[in-house]
Amino acid sequence: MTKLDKSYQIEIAGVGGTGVLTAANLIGNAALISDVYIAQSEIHGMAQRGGVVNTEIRLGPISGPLIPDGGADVLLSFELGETARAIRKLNPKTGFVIMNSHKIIPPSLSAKKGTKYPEVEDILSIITKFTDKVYTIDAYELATQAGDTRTQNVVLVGALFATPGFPLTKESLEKSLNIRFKGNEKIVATNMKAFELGYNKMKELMK
Amino acid sequence: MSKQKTKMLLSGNEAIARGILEAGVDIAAAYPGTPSTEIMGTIAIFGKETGMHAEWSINEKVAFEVALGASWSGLRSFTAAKHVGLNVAADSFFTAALFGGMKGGFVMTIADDPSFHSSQNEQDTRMYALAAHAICMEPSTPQEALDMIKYAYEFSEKWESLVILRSTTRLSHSRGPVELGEIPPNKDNHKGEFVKDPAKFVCLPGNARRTKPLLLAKMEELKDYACNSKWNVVEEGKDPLLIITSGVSYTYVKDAIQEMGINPTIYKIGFSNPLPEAKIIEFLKKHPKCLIAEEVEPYLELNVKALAAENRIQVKIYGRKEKVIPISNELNPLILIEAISKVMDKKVEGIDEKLPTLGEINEQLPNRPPELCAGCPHRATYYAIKRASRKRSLKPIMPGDIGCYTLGFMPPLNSVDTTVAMGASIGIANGIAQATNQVVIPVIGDSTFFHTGIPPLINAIVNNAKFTLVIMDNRTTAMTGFQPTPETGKGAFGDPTGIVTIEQVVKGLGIKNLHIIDPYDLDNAIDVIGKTLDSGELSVIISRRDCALEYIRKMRKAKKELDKYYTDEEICIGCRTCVRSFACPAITFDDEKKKSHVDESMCMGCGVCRILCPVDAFTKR
Repeated sequence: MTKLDKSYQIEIAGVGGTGVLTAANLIGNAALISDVYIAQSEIHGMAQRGGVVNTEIRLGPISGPLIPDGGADVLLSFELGETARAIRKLNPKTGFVIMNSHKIIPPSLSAKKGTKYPEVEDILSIITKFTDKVYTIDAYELATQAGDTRTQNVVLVGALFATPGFPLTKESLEKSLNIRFKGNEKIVATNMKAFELGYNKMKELMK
Repeated sequence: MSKQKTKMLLSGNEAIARGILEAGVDIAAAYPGTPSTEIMGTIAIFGKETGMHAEWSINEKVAFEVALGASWSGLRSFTAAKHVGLNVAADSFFTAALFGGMKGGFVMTIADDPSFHSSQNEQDTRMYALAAHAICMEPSTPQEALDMIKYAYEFSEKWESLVILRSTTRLSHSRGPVELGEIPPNKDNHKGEFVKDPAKFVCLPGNARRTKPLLLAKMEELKDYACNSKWNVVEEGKDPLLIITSGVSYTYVKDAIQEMGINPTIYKIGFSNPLPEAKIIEFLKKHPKCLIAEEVEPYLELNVKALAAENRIQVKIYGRKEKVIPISNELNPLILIEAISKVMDKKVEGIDEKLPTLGEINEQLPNRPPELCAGCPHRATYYAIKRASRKRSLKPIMPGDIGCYTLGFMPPLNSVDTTVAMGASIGIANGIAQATNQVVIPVIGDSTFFHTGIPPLINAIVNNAKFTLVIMDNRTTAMTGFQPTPETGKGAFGDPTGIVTIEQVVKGLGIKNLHIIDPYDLDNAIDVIGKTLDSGELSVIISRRDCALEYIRKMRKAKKELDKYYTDEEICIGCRTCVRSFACPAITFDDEKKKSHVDESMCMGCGVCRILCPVDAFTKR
């Protein structure tokens, strides 16, 4: 079943409620449809209440569900600040980053006077120590265009599928979306639009 | 889930549930707990059409006993719990392991949580298996979990023993492709018959004394059986290193040796209590070095070292004790690469040391602890308790409990002084009330109250302990994913059931000082809590309001719009009361404008901010 000669490892970083698990499930089923071996880990429970939520997807000739530090081919980040917290997972020689510029500010920060949430430049100053291949996308804006801000995750999945060397096809993801939101044509259509917007944005960024 | 053979992407928990359906299990009972919850959750979705009985039991001990009673009545039975859930069921578990006599197969999945992802400890269920002389099996992948559980039922019936299928977070919550088998055709009925045999089922000392040698003889016999078990697999290698491993650690070993391009011998132990001792001895004799890769206590390690010592085998064994592997927490491929390198005296190329560490990166980022949701009624209840106490210059001690509301620990609420175990808030309140003259306000959730909160409340009555118990009733078991409570009136399959309400229980105990408040009706809540504290009596306040997430879901289903609030910037004086003392995640503070701001995509319209704002700046849209 492992058709891939080389493994492909995706680290997804986000916050509870940003659709990390849904995105992982969409990619996971796309892999299953494509007959590519997959192992994927998730975090449930307490962390989901607004905490950091990461998931790791490993495709091809691998065994376990965890990506070692320095092992990820791509870091796909659903929230600006969390990109930095997960950057050590990235392979610093060959890996690249797709990052959402949208921020989710923890309330504990608002409670303190004079504390600021990092800006895109602050995050870039950390992550560019690991790689200069960083693609920043305002997924909130594109998801709004698609018709639902909750589709930011699918915008970013769209961007991932547009990268050269990504081992799964757009068609497999479309099938996967149809399985996930079976029978709800409107949701499928909104998500497909979000996917296309992310896909095209990435093509544009890579020109 | 398909009835036929096909391939699906399943989590370990879903694969276990599928295995249960394929094994034709008749009765499944569990209390939810991360990382075990989705096993019963999946059975609850797909089990009904098989005609089986499934239930969310009141706690893990009762769930275990339901399964035991069913097994003794000749039915295939199942229970699942998180690792600390087995502590609750331990009393019955030990005796059941001793007496055996399983007529229908009895399998229990205990999901351990190495690295404390969602738990208070990382206890290792294999140590329980050892102490109770219980059979223990450890799958490594979702596929193996499905295959193993079906085998476990056959084994349980053949040997009349209960079987623990031990999972860990990284198995329960990892997905992989799983080849499904067939679900057997529905039976006419799922009824068995309990045949009386008191000598077998009554644990009087005389019966226990007679049974223990039989159990020990069986476990001795099973050591040889384990040597030939298809779940204990050797992968012969050319290198002089032997790696003994189990569970998900096996997959990290495979990843590590692939990365390093080495070829050690691997002994993967899937049938882990009793251990295949003769085989282990045989392999130890052939290798000068042995690494043990397991999570999380040195279960294999201590046993393997004892076997090497008893048999005077010249082998150097490395594990957690040698600190070749960190003494606590889960493993990963990188830890294995480093450990193997140390054992083989190889140099390993790590990540560039000049790159910032996670600690250095974290210093530049704000913390992101888990928090109560926007509109969570627990936040309003905690806030009301604080306001009522402050008005009276009281500094109450607040023993907390296990659920979403444990997050009342976080600033700015800082309202949880102790958390120990399910139901322990009220038990500890008994102790502090007896030991001090301080005001004590234990706080517990609805499902947790029914789970283990009732005996300590009775204890307070009969021992004259004085405190004000606040039961936060959000009408669901929220933390684990919205399972029903005794107040819901719905079973695991959604069928109607009998109902028990919290006030029935409290009144039934004879507690007269009982009040029910709505935390969204903030001013009244503060008033009632204050008056109750003034009474100085043993008293109970039920703070009742639907979980905000459940409310949002219901509104969405009914296609109704949520109320939304916004800050009227003309009115807001920038006093920060909302963000400083209440901290709803939907409210942020704009430091430049010096005004609060509501993220309307998060706001669910509870309106509590409107009440607590001193100038009425929050306005309904």
